[in-house]
Amino acid sequence: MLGKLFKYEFKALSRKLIPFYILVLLLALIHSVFTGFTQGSDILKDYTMLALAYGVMFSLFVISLFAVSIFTFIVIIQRFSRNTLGKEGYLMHTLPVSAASHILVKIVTATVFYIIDAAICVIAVLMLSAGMGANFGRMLEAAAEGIKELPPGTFIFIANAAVMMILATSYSITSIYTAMSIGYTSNSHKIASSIGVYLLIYVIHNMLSQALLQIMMPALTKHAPADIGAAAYMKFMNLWFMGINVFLIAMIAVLFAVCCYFVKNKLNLE
Amino acid sequence: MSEIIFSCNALTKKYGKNTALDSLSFELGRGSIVGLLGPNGSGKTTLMKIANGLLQPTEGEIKIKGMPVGTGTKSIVSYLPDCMSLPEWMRIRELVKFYCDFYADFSAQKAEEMLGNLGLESETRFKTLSKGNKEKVQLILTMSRNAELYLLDEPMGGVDPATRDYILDTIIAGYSENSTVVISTHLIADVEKILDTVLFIDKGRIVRSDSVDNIRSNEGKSVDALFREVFRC
Amino acid sequence: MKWNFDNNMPIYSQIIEQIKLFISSGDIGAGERLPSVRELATDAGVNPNTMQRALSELEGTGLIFSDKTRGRFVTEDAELIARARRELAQKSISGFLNYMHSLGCTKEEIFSLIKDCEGDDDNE
Repeated sequence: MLGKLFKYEFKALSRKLIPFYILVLLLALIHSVFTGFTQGSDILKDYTMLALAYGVMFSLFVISLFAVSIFTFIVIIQRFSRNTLGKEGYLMHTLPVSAASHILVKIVTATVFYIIDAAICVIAVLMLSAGMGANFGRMLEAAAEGIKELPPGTFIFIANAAVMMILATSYSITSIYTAMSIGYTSNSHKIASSIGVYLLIYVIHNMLSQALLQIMMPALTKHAPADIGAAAYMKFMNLWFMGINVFLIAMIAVLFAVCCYFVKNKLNLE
Repeated sequence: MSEIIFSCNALTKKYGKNTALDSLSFELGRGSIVGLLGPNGSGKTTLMKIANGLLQPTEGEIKIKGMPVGTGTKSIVSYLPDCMSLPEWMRIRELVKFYCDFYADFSAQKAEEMLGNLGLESETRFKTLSKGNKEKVQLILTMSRNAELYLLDEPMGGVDPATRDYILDTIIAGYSENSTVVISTHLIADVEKILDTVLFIDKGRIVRSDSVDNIRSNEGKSVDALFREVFRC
Repeated sequence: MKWNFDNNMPIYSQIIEQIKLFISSGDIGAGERLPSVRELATDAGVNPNTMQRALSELEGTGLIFSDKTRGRFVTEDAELIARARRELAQKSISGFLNYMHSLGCTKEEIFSLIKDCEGDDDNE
């Protein structure tokens, strides 16, 4: 059943998001071709119209990178609002599937689409750089050389950082969903209440992080690397990041439980 | 197989000071078509929502086939809500597939046959359908399940008389001795003939519970006429 | 088949009357097989349980009988059908006569009114 929920969730989100992502990549492609074409020649100086068009294209491109992230955000929230807390809830919550499954699937697919969104932006920027004459071959060679020089534990560090970014995304999504599931119990001020609850969650999260930091500080300074070598530094950072990841997982779990409770017991479908 | 498919025990639902359901208790056996009749705001929809796990009661409980409301009951209960709940962007064939995917007792063949009879094309997107056709599609999907309990909330609200007849015919055709259909409505004249039993509900309480024929013999009037008397404004 | 339901009488008894009418008039012939309970219920727009109850009672009168495997059939007994037809006609006539008496018509008036009606029918 979980698999089927995933299938429909992906379907619903991709039909709105994928066209936008393709559009962004197309804009990047057009722009990079245009750039490559005008690079190294003085054609822009000669034709002000062309220069203007180029400027507009570039602006559009930059705007589209921001827009795609905002659009992803809006689509994800709209989906949760309509499908879990709105009219479609009459269909979804009468399926022989637990509320926890519904919410889990939504968190995971939203995270995946955020990752895709980030990847699209990175690819778009890379395409632009290619247009500007970046030599990827040379860059990769330099990178390969550099990798040999990196201190041990770097890859773990990168993995930790990646996990942290994913968890941070999931945490953000979960806190929005939880805020909405609480806010929507109100009859007349759903959106305002949701924003209010979200801010509350944000404040509590901050307070907890600060508190934890205060508690951890003495322990951390005790175990701070004695030598300032890169390896010891890397080890320290890894522990630090792992700690943050554990904290994030715990926060996600707590919010998930709260969200499930409200969706199961306090559902307020109109 | 147990005889009692639905039982309601001291079911109460309060919203602050407002009591939507007031210690409701009744049982329904298999193989009957039951009318839940009452004016707007009498608690019909609240009762159905609780039976489907969309609301939690303040006190009391509902048991379906002896089970408390949960994923177990959801797989044997087919619900037609009062409003349009299907995703507007899906095509008709995608909606059929959706029901197939989640309900083991769904018959795609039955659904496709009924949809075909109405001339509804499988590639049509739900949002392009007229209101009447949307209602029919929702009903067809609900009745194409081989469920043990059907809960239909105002299945005939807002549609023309010919569509109402179609809906009633579909309900009769879907009848089986194994399952029970509960229809909540205030359009009683149309629905009366297909009902076995009627429950009059007012302000969250059952005020009358009897068979249609008993009411007609004892009162000498139709259920519709009796309703108008009982709920006179 | 054309079903006519009155709002104030129990449905099952009206079903019984209607089926007797269909049999008497020949809409359903002697010895003919009846449609299934579900088909009859859908045709009449009534609850299948109610239809079942009506059919069981009719079986009691002998006008229909049920063969375990092959379904329900109308009796072949022409005498029984004729009697049912007579009963229905008499019931209608007694209702008619009550009405005419309440109008204050005498027996002669009733006959002459009927003759006039028949005459009109012939002319049409």
